[in-house]
Amino acid sequence: MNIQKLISSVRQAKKLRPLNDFHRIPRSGIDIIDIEFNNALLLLKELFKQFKASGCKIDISFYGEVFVSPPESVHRFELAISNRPNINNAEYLLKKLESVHFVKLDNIDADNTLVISIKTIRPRAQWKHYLVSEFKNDYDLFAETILKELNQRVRYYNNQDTNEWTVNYSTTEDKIAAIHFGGALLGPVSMLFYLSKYLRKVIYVNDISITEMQITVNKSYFNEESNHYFGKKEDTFFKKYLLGYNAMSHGHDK
Amino acid sequence: MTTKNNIICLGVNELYQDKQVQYPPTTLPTLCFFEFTQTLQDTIDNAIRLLFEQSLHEVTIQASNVNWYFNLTDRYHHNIRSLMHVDAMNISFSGSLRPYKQSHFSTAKISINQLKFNQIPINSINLHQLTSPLAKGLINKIKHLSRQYSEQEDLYYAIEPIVSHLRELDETTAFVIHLDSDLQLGLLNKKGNELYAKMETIETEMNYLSEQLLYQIFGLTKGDWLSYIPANSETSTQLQFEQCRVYGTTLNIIGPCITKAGLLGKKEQYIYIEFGEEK
Repeated sequence: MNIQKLISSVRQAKKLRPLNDFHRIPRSGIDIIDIEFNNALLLLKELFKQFKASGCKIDISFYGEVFVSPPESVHRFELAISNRPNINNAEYLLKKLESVHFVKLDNIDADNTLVISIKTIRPRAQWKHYLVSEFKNDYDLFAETILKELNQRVRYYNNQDTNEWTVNYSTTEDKIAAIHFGGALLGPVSMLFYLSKYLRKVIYVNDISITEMQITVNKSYFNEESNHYFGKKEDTFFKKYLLGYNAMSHGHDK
Repeated sequence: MTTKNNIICLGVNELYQDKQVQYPPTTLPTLCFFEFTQTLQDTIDNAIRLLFEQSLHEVTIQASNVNWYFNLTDRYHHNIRSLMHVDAMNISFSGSLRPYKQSHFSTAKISINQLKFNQIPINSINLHQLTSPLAKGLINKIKHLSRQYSEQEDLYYAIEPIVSHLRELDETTAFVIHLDSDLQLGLLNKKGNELYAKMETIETEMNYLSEQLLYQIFGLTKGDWLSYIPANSETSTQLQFEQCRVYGTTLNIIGPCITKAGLLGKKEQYIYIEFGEEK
């Protein structure tokens, strides 16, 4: 496990992050404004060193998610870094804004604070957030705190993680997000623009398959399918943004 | 410990800049946060100065330090292009997600005065300031325009009776006396329209100059709260400055009244400032 390689995969996945803006269940990972991205990578590198020293296994997915599995544990967790204002009462604010134009908030830190969040990979698991500033560059302590929290959580789990889990998996939501993003990126000259419009009206999508030159949308369990054909532009787009698309394409060639 | 700061939270709505594009719901934020700092206040003040100097309606500035929260995905998305729109009274923010090029969501407009102050201060007008050279210069210009305006107005209303008389004459004497009245009427109408357009231009210019006068001499902009005690009266008039008009040698400041409770009322109030007769 070469740390530099892991960091460069995170850096490489940065170009895929805009997909998250169109994703109903955004992928976790490193979401940092451009000017602070390199600082976040330095922080990540230090943490990786500590995790490695503790015998953890680290994986980076195609979309830039960071997965860490502690030694001798069947459980894994995902790690995210973001800089976000420290505001937790969005629901309350939304309610309040129904009757007024704006709300003044005092004594709240709305600066973009660097936050590291961790979550075990289980349904309904909650994120735990850590303010980076609280650890004052003591990465040893930081990594230790994170692992301690994880071990504490794991102690209460009496069943295994959801069966077979892989670093790189692709969901229908990923494909829908790619279609919406492709529609916005390529504009009205692309069929994705119109497919994205069409998908907004569809209430339930059971499955989508994107294979070479063809997108099949399965709307329900009754095999109600529609086929949409695409060209070179879209092909190039999917090669760049969609996990597993290349493999499908090559499989077809053989 | 967090220091006391001035964070403003606003609701966000979708903007239909491009009817053809339908924005997926994940691309629409629900809340907008920004800190009302001294730097931001200075930027707004500069924008307002620019509005007055160049007689613009709105100034749009690229904004940084604006945070957008997306309720649907429970996230703050980065790399959103944000713009701040400043007009004489309000500011609002709009933004666009990559790869969209046009702003596709915007906040409501909020009053700059309400942002700045918890309780909007009431400015008093000291008429002595009108004796400064700058004020005198502006007043003379306004008076000059006002005189021009009344000359044009006299001409305009002088034409009207002629038109109606001519029309009457045309109807009663149809086919008897050939006056070529259609042509005359057409010419008079055209002249009337020209005069009217000229009057409107002068009026706009006068209003612009009087806004400049109020801004440069009293430091007043639209949306400010004013209090004025006329020389011959003991009761004060309090209103929110919304517009100003010049009639003859009087400058009228018009706007909704401020109630005793310190709120905006429905009734319209006027403040009359006499420039005095010409020497």
